[in-house]
This record gives sequence, structure tokens and C-alpha cells, in this order.
Amino acid sequence: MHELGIATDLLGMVEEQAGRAGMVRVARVCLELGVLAPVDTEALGLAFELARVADPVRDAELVITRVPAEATCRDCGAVTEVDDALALCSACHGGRLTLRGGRDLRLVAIEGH
Amino acid sequence: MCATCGCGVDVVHTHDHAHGEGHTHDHAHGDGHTHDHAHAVASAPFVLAPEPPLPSRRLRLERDLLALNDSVAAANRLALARQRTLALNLMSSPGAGKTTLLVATLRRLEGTPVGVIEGDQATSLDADRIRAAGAPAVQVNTGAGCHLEAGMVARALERLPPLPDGVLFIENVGNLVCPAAFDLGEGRRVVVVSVTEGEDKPLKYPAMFAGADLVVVTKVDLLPHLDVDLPLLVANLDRVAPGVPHLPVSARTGQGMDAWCAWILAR
Repeated sequence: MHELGIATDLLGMVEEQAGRAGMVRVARVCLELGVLAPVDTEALGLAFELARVADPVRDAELVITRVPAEATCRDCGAVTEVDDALALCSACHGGRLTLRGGRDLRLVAIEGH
Repeated sequence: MCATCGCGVDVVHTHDHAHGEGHTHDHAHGDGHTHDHAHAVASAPFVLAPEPPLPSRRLRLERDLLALNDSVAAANRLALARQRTLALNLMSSPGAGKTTLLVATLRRLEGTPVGVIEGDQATSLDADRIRAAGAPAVQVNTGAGCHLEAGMVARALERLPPLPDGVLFIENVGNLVCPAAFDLGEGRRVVVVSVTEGEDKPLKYPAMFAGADLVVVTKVDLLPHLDVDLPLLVANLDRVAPGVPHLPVSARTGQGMDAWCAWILAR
């Protein structure tokens, strides 16, 4: 679905940045993906493999770091990190959490030569 | 004599590759010749070392990949703001009653400039219904696509008249998953859920409901025929979408329609 569009945009960004830096082979593409982001990691990985057909990204490895969301419990006030939208408060086990962050997909770095 | 290939010392040539033992070249050399190719000879006294690996470097970037749709959405938002048009992104599962709600709403918004962008995989059935109800409508067919994106809305806006101080309804593709991920440039997000869908949809599709500015609960005229637990639906909405108002409506009987139209006109 749209993971292929994201992968294509991602590789376009990587190629542009690598070109500007004079990088001829990209070995790793490092992403941060929020746990609440509307992107499926498996689909993104598959789309990335399908889309990376030419240099400098032909053999690039995709590395994804998951970023948690911050949860504030509306019942007991505890602030914790969670990795899904229906997590329970770890302090009072209530289900009424207000979530912040954890929704982005960011290209954070590329490695190569 | 060249120690590598055995030819005369005054010849200039290059060796640009290494060979292992047992490799031979058989060519004859006279004096005063030139080499224009590189070669090596069996049992050479040395081999060229392989190129050392180039040092790897790490380029630190900070690029938001989901922002690409967002920049088009921001342009839409600006264009709509110039006309003071309120754009509402209506989202729901297929069959929740978005189009029927819109048709009933259009009749009640006489005097307000109104336009509709309809999103479906195929057919112009919804845009036809809107036009029959008296409002301009543009149908976007997404083909294999499951959601509207900002670019599609930008192109559809070019085909609608300006709506100064009016309302643009964007009826998204019926889908409780993907549309939530795409900012269209709307002013408000309205999620429509019908009483026939049960109480658990907010929990099953938290991203969609958490992003709502208003939840419209449709088909309430059917409640006497259903076992749905409405207070539980409201509790589930409160859990994933705290503070988001909900309006029970029936497009068929008119129940709740005044409150819905008042919410629209209050912007």
C-alpha cells in the first residue's frame, strides 16, 4: 500500500543526501519509527528491498529504531512510556492514557563511503 | 628488464591488477615498444595488495518522511483559509452513512456556500447523489488506493467554485485505517460511526478515533432493533479520544441534526 510510496520517497531522499555528500555506496539507512506511526515495519522493509535497485543504495541495509509514545494517566497522573495505543497505566492499570509523540517516521542518518 | 613482465626497462606501463600464481601471458616484446595494457606474469616476485576498504562515514540527517504529504496539505489549508472555507474531513467505515448524512445536511445549510469532494475507489455514485441534492461535487476515484491524499484534494479544489465563508465537505474513502494517516488540509476531522457497528470500533481503530475533532454516531433510529450498548460506545470513545464531543444523529428522522448543523456553523 502506501509503504511502497514511503520507501520510494525515502530512497529519493537518501540518494539526494548521498549525492550531496559524495557518497558512492550507502551501506545503512537509519530510521526512527514511532510506535504509533501509521507505518507497518514489515511492509516498509519489503518495499525498501523492492525499491533499492540501483547504486548508491543497491545494497543498503535498513535499520529501524522504534520510538515509544509518552503516556500521561488521566486517573493517577503517572507519566510513562508505552508502545501501543491501548496500553494500560503501569501504576494504576487504568486504561485512560493521553498519548504524546511516537507518531513520526524520521530518516536520522545514512552510513557509507 | 622490467621485473614484472620481462620487457625492456625504458617501457612505461602500468599494472593495475594482481594475479595469483600460475597465470601466464604469452606475448613477445621487441625493443622500443610501448604497452598500452596492464598485465602481470606468472610467478611474479610480488602481488599487488587489494585496495584498503574506504572509511565509512555516518551522515546525520533529520528528515520527517511523513511530512511530504503534509506540505501539500499545508498549501491546501492556506488556500482554504484565504476564502475562510471550513473544510471537514469525514471518515468512517464503508456504509456508516456519510453520504446520507451529507445529503440530509445540505438541505439544512441553505444560504451557506457548500461544496463536496467525494472519494471512492470507483463510481461517481456519491458525487451524483450530492449534485442531485443541489450542491457542487467533485468525485475522486482512487482506483487501487484506499484513502484520499492532499494532492488529490488540491486537484479536486481546482474543479470546485470558491466557497467564501462556506463549508467544504471531504467525504473520504470508506476505511477506518488508512485515511487517519493523511492530512488533507482540513480544518476539522469528523469520524462517523453507526450504531450497527457495535461498541468496540473506537478500541479496534484507536488512531482513527484519537484524531477526531467530533464523532457523529449515526442511525440512532435503529436503536430499538439493536442490542448495542451505547454507554459502552461512549466510554470507549472517552478512552481513546478524551474530550472529543460526540453527537447521536439520525439523518432519516432528523434527530440530532440541529446540533450537528449548529456545530458546523459554529466552526
